[in-house]
Amino acid sequence: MKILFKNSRGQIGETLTWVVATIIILVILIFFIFGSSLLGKTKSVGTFRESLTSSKTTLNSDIFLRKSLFTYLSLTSNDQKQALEKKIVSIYWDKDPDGEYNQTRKEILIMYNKKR
Amino acid sequence: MSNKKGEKLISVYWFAILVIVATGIVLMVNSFYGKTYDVRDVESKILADKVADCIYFGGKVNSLLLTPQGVFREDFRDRFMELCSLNFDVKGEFTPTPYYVEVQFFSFGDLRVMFETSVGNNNFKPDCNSKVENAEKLAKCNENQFYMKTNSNKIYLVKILSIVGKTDENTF
Repeated sequence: MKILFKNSRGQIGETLTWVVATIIILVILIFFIFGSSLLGKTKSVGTFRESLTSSKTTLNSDIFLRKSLFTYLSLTSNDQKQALEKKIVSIYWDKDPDGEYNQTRKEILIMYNKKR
Repeated sequence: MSNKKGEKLISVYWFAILVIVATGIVLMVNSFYGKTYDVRDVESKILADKVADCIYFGGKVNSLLLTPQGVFREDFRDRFMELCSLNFDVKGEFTPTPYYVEVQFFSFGDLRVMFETSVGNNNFKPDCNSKVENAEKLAKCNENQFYMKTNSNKIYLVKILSIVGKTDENTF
């Protein structure tokens, strides 16, 4: 009777080990499935993979800002220049807190002076 | 005898684990590679860049947009696609085009619309103002603006709205 009891205790212990192992395997699997599904959702170029589309990678700066600055520099009237600068700043200041506006402005100024 | 039974049970267990792990791997691969890359945002930006370059490039306005007197030419509106080298054709004869471009020219001071033109499928336009949770199933819109100066020293604010639909190809 004692031997039978000992054997069943051993069996319970062994079964428990496998049950725990199975649970761990399942949890890891679910975690990885969930992870890969989350990663799959980042396959939106532009929203997530910014390095591919950022203006710094492609053209160094925003093409529309460059055009506006070119217009600003080609103006002859100071009043018009001031008014336009205010408008450009109001559009781009919120857009680019990193100072891309100032950087692009410097670049365009150099380009414009060379062109002249 | 009982040992053999136990071994059999363990073999069945291992087989079950193998099946579970294999199914898990298939699910993982499917959930990652099954999703397509959504490039519509970039596509609409490229479209807007191309249209902007067509209208105003290197500080010069397209000579076909304005008359020498500085008046907008109506035939630019009619031949917009041809003059800006745009091609919105898609595979399939009866498939509606998934693109839409709208260009508006505003006067500098009072922001009145002086001229506007649009091409493509304008059914996507309401998607731009829609604020729903599952926005990936809607068309991607991009609105850009810049200032241009004409030969007669007039300044215009140019607003370009570019939309790419392709909801079936990019989302599921």
